[in-house]
Amino acid sequence: MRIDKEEVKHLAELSKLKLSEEETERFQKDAEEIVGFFDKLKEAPEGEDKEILGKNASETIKDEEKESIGTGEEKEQFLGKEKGYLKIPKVFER
Amino acid sequence: MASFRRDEQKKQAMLKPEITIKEFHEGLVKKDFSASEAAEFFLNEIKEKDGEVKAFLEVWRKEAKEEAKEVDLKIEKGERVGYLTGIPIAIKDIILKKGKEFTAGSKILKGYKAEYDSTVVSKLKKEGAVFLGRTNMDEFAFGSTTEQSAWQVTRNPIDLERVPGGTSGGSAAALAGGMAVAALGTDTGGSVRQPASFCGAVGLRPTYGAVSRFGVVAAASSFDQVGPITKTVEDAAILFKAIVGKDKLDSTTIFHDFSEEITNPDFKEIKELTIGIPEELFDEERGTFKGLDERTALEMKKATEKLKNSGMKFKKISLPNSEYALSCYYISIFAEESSNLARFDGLRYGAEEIREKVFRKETLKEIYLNNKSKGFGDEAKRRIILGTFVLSSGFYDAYYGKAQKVRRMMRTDFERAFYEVDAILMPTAPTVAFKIGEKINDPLQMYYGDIFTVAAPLAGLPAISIPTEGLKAEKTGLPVGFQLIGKKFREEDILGIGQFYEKI
Repeated sequence: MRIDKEEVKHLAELSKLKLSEEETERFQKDAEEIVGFFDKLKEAPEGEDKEILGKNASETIKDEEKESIGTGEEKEQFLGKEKGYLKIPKVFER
Repeated sequence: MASFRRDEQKKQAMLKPEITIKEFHEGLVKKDFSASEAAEFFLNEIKEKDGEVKAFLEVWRKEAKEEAKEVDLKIEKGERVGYLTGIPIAIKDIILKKGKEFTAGSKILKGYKAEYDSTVVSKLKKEGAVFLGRTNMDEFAFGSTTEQSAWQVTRNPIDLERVPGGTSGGSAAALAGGMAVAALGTDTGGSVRQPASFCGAVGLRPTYGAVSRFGVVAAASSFDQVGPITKTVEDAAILFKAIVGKDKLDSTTIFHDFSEEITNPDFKEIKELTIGIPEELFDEERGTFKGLDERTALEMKKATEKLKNSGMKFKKISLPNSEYALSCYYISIFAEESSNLARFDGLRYGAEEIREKVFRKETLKEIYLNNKSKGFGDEAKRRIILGTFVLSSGFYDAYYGKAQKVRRMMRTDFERAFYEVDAILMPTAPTVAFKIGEKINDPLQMYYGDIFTVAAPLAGLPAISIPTEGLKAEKTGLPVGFQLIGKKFREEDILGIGQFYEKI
């Protein structure tokens, strides 16, 4: 399967990665080789078993109210408290 | 005075870098040394050796001494001394211990302090283990050599020119270098077993669902397990027993009552077990497994012969979809890893080094682009891109969907094989430890090295790597590990055969 530089740029964009020109070139080459190796799977038989991707997933996870795992101690790492809110490091500049 | 000197000599004879959990426990009970003396001894070993090996990212000198002191006080008061009481242990930089910094080998987590203990750490704390420090690893457990850490390249203590394997290479190197009595790693597709094989240690990957991953940074969630890296199989059994169990904080864990025999097997029963050899992976003409280097081939032959000569039964079995294992594995983990890494944006969880640059950016998207691009290393980026590719709508069915079907078939293959045999034998890695830098620029070549380790995690099965006798017997050459894969929650079979192998 052919993967060109545009495809790599598009995938990077979807993944919120900014790649340099050198990285784009390198990853394009790697991706093409690796996806070529993935193509091996196309030869694999389909199998008769249709039950895939966890048919019973909804049975195992019940939506129940549980005790919180927080101990309150996690708040110690915040910068401080003000008016009932927790302070975090400044992310945006005004 | 004379008796004092005798005591000192005795202590020195007991406290040695290669001491096992079992020997340590006996020494501690007999009061040959105290937990504090032992902690001091291993902290000193680290000081002397780790400048070269670079196994540790951080050594917790102060805390380790305090923990050891507390153990000594408890012993003085006559409290129970368990197998792991006072044991100096090293943990991978991905298994959280409250109050300490953890980075999972990545720049994007620099400065993150764990707010809670992982379940495995709290279990070991209860046993009175002494934590020496956190060990180096490939970034987010992506790699096979520990060269892809954002921080340092760890060297193999057996030959400093070579890699220790990965991704738990720091833990394996700390153990093999005599800088810890036991260590914990994590295994997604071989990250406990392969470094154990490269460093001459024992590495156990438990059954999926046996050990809680709460407080362990996720790589590929349907594969990850925490596992012991130890000096003997018996030690692996002891440490495994201490960390297993159902945990309400990890919904994949299952209650299973492991028998007492796991650390004390009945060898008569063990000898009755049958070991399978997968014909697809075996080269009949050469009489050994396919694709091995010379030393691995020879050592595998000798290990198999030794088990055969001691009366264990062998049988050829078939794993018909083996040839698809690697592709199936890498498609699946890339998908899961790229999803798991999406949460790391540099705004939460540490990211000290890149955060200050955040201020000058204008939009949220630019902040993400900046932080992720600066925070992630090469292999993480490669996996994010390829994971996004196999999950993208146009290719989902052809890659991710197909991989799940093949994974299912591989599980069935193993189920079928386990009707005939109790354990399956194969090499851990196709080669001995290679030179640092040898494969770093060829990702695909690196992936091929996982050929024997990915099958067990694809099927959720337990597997162990056990060093062959070569290095110990000849005192030269590089270590080789052979691998035993067991039935689900039948760790006692592979641990039993392993302990049997060590005795014969």
